[in-house]
Amino acid sequence: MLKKILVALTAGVVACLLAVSATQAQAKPELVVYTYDSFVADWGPGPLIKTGFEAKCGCTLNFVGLDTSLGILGRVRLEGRHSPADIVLGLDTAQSGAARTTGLFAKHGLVGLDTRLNLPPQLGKWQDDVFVPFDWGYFAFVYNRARLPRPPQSMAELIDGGTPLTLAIQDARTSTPGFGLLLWLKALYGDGMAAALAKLDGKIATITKGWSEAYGLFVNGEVDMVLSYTTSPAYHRLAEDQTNYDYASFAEGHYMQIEVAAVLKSSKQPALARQFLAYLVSPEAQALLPQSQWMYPVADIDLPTGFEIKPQPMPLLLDDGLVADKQAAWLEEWVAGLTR
Amino acid sequence: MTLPGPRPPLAPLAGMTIMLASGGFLIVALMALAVAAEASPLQLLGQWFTPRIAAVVWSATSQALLSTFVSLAVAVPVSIVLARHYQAPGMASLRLFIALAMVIPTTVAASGILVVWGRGGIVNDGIALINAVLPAPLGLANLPPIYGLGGVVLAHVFFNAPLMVRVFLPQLMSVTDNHWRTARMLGLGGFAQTRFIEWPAIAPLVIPMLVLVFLFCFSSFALVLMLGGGPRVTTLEVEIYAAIRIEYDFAKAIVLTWLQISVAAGVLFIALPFGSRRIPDFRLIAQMKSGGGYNYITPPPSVYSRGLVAITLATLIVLLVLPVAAIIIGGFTPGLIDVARHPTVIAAAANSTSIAVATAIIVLGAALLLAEARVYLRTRPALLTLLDASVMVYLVVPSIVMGTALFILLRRVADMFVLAPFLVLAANVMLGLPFAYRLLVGKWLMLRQRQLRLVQLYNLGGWVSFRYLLLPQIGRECGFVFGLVAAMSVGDLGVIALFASADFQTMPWVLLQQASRYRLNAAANTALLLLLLTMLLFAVGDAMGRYFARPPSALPTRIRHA
Repeated sequence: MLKKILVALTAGVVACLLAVSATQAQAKPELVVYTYDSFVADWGPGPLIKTGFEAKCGCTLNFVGLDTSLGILGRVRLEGRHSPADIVLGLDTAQSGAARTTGLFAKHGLVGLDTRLNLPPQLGKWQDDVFVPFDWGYFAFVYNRARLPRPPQSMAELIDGGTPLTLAIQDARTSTPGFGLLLWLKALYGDGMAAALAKLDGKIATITKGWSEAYGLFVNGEVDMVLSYTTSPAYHRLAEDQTNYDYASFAEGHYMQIEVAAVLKSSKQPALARQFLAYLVSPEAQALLPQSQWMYPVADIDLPTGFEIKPQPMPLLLDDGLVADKQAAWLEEWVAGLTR
Repeated sequence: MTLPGPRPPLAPLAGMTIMLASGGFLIVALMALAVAAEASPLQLLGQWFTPRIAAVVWSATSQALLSTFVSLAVAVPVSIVLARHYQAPGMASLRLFIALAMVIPTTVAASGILVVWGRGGIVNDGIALINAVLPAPLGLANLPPIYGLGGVVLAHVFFNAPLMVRVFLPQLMSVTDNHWRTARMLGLGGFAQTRFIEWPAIAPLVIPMLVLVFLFCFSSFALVLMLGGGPRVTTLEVEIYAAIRIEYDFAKAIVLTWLQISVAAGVLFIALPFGSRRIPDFRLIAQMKSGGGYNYITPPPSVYSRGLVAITLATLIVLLVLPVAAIIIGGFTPGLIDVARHPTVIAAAANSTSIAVATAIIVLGAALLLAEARVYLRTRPALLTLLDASVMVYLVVPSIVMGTALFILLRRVADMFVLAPFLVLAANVMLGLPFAYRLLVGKWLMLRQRQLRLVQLYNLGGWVSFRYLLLPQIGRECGFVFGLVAAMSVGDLGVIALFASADFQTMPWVLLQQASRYRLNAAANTALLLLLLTMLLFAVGDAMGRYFARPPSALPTRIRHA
């Protein structure tokens, strides 16, 4: 009896695993896009973009959602020229410098891309010939008006101000907004970043691994402010009908994140890949992004009501080559500032 | 001592093969990383010991020591009180909460802990209530923020004290009637009972449990990042993650992994002699156990006994029951049904369950084979150490290191997306094996020792002696290990995150995706569903254990004719 049970169990396990892997083996990808996992989750824009593009291209678009641990960039670096991916979607301006030096990415070849983009005018022309932006946002500290009636008006006030308040931020080593804050402070204070962080440390309740943990703490009232995006209050307004969330507008300006996509040199169908990039920045695809990515579109389209921000902050953005060069040193400064 | 069997000893050979494969894989994995590294790890050796790394090692070691001993300080009195009042009303549900706490996914548990200890948490609400009654000058201060060393230790105690209780309690329950008769004759009080009966009953298991819990806390990752409050409280695991993820510096990751293994090995080598010297004690206790039955004596009421009960119950409720209850209540929102019916969630639950069940079966089999190998290696201390080390080392090899190495090794050989479920399975097996091995090996050795003569006398075959002599006695433990490993792997995100893609989603992955799209309510629902799934797997393990442990209804013909 027991023997039979064991045999049946073993058979069951093997069958389960084979079934699981078989469902994945069937799909025959034509255009493979590496992206981060939440882009392709049911709640992200991935499924909509897949439907939209497949209706046009007569191809199969396969999104591969990669985790945030090895990262998309780590994955394509490991795979090198043998990568099955055609496109990488979801790097940002904090990583594009490092990505460029790998030499794995091809020029995007989109003619007149700059004229189709609607980025803050202070940035000037989009001159990157490899990476194509597809959405963007400003980092910001978000607060609840009911709990914090008088938020700080500037980074200096946040750091030096006497108002007692608590913050949740993200770890610069593990999280995009976390690294964004590092760059924000670097842009404002240069070599004084570690000192500014050390002062800010008094107000930081905790530093989480990712955005979602910190934001969860904030929504549950654990902290007064959370490092997030200027679009977070828009989410609460549009999706939840809650108007008491806002972001603190800082006089010095807000650091930007621009998310980008690029074609891999190893792609066997560069024309199809380029077609996808063109679709990605088209008004049709861009209209899908605001309420799934909760970021601003790069095309000049009408934003959903309640999404626009006034006044437009002063955008801050460091050169991506500089970020790539200094990343390791700056992260050491970041750790040093917070362990003083 | 030799253990000749009637057949070639296949089981121990298989066990030794697993040992070699397990140890060998680690070396191959680190070599694969080294080949892919852009700098040589040897070059780095000269410069790795920066003040930062020293601070990290110090932070991890002190945190792990503190977590381990606080867990022990909670677990011992809790075990004693639960044993003394085993049949008191409400005790069964307390045991259920303890079993649950042990297997809750870490990130879910952290949110439950915050509901109790956070700024707007239950403890602070309680303080506010008291302050409303007390005159102002006597008012209590609110809790300091939980984030930092305190939060990490609290969370580690939440996970590890229940594990210790689960191991200690059966030991207490198996103290024989003889002891209780003597105790009654001598009129032992509550404290004397602890000193002369209860502590000696659990003492042999204390060192092995301390080692297990220390290694767990020393290499903790998600909890440290969630509750540590910043880079001041950290572990090498966090630094290794950053080295691979941010710096793409495999050489540094290898050096740090070796450092983590070295510290853990240091701890193991300090503790292992205690462990092996104690092994005869396992036998002693289990011999007493043959008396059977719950004849546990509740000592005469005294200040010590009552105080122990009061403090223990209060600690248990605040530490374990409230956070678990918070997760359950927080998940019961109107959206629960929608989330539970969502095709993504259903598919993820199916994937998670397959992986968890497969992991648990493989781990259970491998752990028993390893234990059998240990029986044959008893006279060779060097090989024994190698066996223990090659299994236990996976407690401290970061899953991102293993995952990345697997990826590097297999990327040219096969399609990663087809392999993904098998990779997740392999990695989960390696993470579950140390727990299973540690929890089973003591009893297995004792049983084999005791039944040696019987097996020789009747010339019993391996399968017959396993099925009719060993399994009825170790079945419950096997069921427990099955449930524990299945629950651990169903809630584990670490490994799955490395290989998961949109086509192969698991429950913890879905939970993370919901939370990272502002869907906190859906995430709370999913957390509850994940908890229910975990409970189900755990209950299945327990039922399996009871089934295995039932006495064989009739002797098989093979024995009758032997």
